Amino acid sequence: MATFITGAFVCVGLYFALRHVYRNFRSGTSDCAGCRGCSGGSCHHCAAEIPDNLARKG
Amino acid sequence: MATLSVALTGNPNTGKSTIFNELTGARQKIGNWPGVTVDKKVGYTRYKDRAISIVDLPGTYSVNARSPEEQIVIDYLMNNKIDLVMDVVDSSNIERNLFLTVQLLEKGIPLLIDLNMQDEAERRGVHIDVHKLEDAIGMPVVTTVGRSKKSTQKLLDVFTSTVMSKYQPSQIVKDHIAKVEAIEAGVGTEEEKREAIIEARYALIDQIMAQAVDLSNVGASKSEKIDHYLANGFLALPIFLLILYAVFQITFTWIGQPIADWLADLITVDFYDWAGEALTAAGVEDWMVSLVTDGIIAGVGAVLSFVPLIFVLFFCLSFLDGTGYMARIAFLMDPIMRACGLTGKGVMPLMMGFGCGVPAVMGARALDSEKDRMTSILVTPFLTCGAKLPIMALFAAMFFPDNAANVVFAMYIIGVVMAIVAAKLLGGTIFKGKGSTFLLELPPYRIPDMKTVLLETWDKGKGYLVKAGTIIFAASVFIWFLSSYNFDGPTEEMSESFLATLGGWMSSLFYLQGFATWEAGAAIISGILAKETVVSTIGILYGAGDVDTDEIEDTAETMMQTGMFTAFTSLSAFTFMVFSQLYTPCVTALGTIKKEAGGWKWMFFSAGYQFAIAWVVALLVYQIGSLLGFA
Repeated sequence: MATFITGAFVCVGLYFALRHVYRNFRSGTSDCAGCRGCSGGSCHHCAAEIPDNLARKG
Repeated sequence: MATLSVALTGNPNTGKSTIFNELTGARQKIGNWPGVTVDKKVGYTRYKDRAISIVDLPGTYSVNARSPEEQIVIDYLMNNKIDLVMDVVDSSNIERNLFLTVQLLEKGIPLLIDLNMQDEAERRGVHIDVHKLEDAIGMPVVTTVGRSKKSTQKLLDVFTSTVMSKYQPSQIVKDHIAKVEAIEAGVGTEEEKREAIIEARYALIDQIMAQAVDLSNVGASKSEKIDHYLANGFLALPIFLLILYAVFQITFTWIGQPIADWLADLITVDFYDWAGEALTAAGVEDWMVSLVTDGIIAGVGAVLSFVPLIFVLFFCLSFLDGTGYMARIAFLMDPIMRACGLTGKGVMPLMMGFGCGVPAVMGARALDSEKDRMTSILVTPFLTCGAKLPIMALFAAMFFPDNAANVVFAMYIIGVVMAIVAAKLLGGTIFKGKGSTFLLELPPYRIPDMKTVLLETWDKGKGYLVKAGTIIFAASVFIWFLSSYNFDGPTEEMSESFLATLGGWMSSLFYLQGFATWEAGAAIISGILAKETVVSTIGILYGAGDVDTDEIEDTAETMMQTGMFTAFTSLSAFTFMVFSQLYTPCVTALGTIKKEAGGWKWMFFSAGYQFAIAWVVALLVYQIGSLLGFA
């Protein structure tokens, strides 16, 4: 049982880790040196966050 | 809700990104060199019931559409409906900044002129009469001091109250535009027309300056006095090397390494033991205990223990950047780079490569000529990115404990030298042609804003932590599996595992380099996934935590007891460091090279030629080292 629970934790961790890697791959992004290291937005999703209430109204 | 669109334009280093960040709350990279804002950024804010969208355009000196930045600016301004275009002007350098202002007016773009950095202008003795400037140009003028709540408030007030259609260019501007149109329609070569237009622009600027700006009190600035020493032809390079040496001492000897050693003990010894005992006591089967301790904790822990080094190094570099000193390095490197086929402007993306190759490769977009851009893309991965740092730190601390900082410093220098040599080789063979000229404005020296420095350090370090928790975690599990199983199932002997087979194939290439062990081969293969994985693989294969804690003093000794000293001599360890420094970039960087260079061909070329160069250089280092009697 203890082995099963530990294994479940590892699997969950692996799931999130691989999901992150897959999403990076899909979107062509990387964790690299952080947003400031890549001048913000030119290589990944760190351009200014658009507040929901403003984004729809343009 | 009424909406308002604002575009920020201006020369590089006039504080546009700071204003953008203050207005929108975004954390955009603010740099002291051209090309930091390569693409336009969009942010949003709300003020007095108005939704305001703000676009931060790349800094340019002109709008002739000759560089990618200029193209972005002119395309955006000419093809979008914008309520207000704000031209951010560095007040302390108004004469040169007006050159862009005049060009924008020539294109019929009404401007709100923001005289930014008013405080610095006052300190330098530059006095600008705002009302006279408004009259001289015919456009509204506002004054700001960059990072200040008062300035932000003032700008938002101006944005929401200014109606640009009320303003018309002044008579002297109208006359100038007519003159430029006449020159363009007249006879003469393109070059003659261009020179005549530039002359006309400066004539207009002289008129505006005479009407609105008093420079009679301008003396040598503090920055100019400092540059007398720091950018001095003889002293500049030694001072730069001295500063860099101090950074490495701080990172690898004085502050970073002691904390890293402590953290390494905590994770790979104390936590390793505690987790192993706790899981065993809970009745977890041995193979699962091994996965958690020998795989995940040893692998991820080996990488995590270098977090303090990463943070200390990035803090030092961000601090130097904040002072304005980094821009001087480009100035300093220009003649060297030019002699080797790159321009000084190419130094900027290269310097990003010390953080991570991915943004550095992307930063090459800012380079005007195709030759410079492709060369920069292909040589950047030679530099020591943050991910290679743990490899260097691990081997330096273990094999050269008394000279760790010097050895890591040497690796950085080797990376730079190889990048320059490769640029020369590529420039003389594949990318022949003329490079672009380099025009760099040296920013004034400033006391860095600690909040910005800390945020920048955190952002860079955070990327490293995320990688440790994701790709390194997954790779550690994978490496553990490969090192614990073979076709017959679980194996007690790692040397009979899948990984030993794979590593053995790879290691057969390195007999002449002195590290032909399957463990080194496996680490090299895993490093293509992410460079940190070299360290996590070594952590797993040599069992960083699998020792008696009573006999442990630090990570290096831990490693020593578990076999690294039997696998490497000092010379082969140094050679392995050199190879790791130079060989094939990680998959993320390769993907970026494919995207930026325009195809699989360049990606495979980059992977192949870097591996070949690393192999040859490692061969030379080991063989010459052996001949000289090093072991």
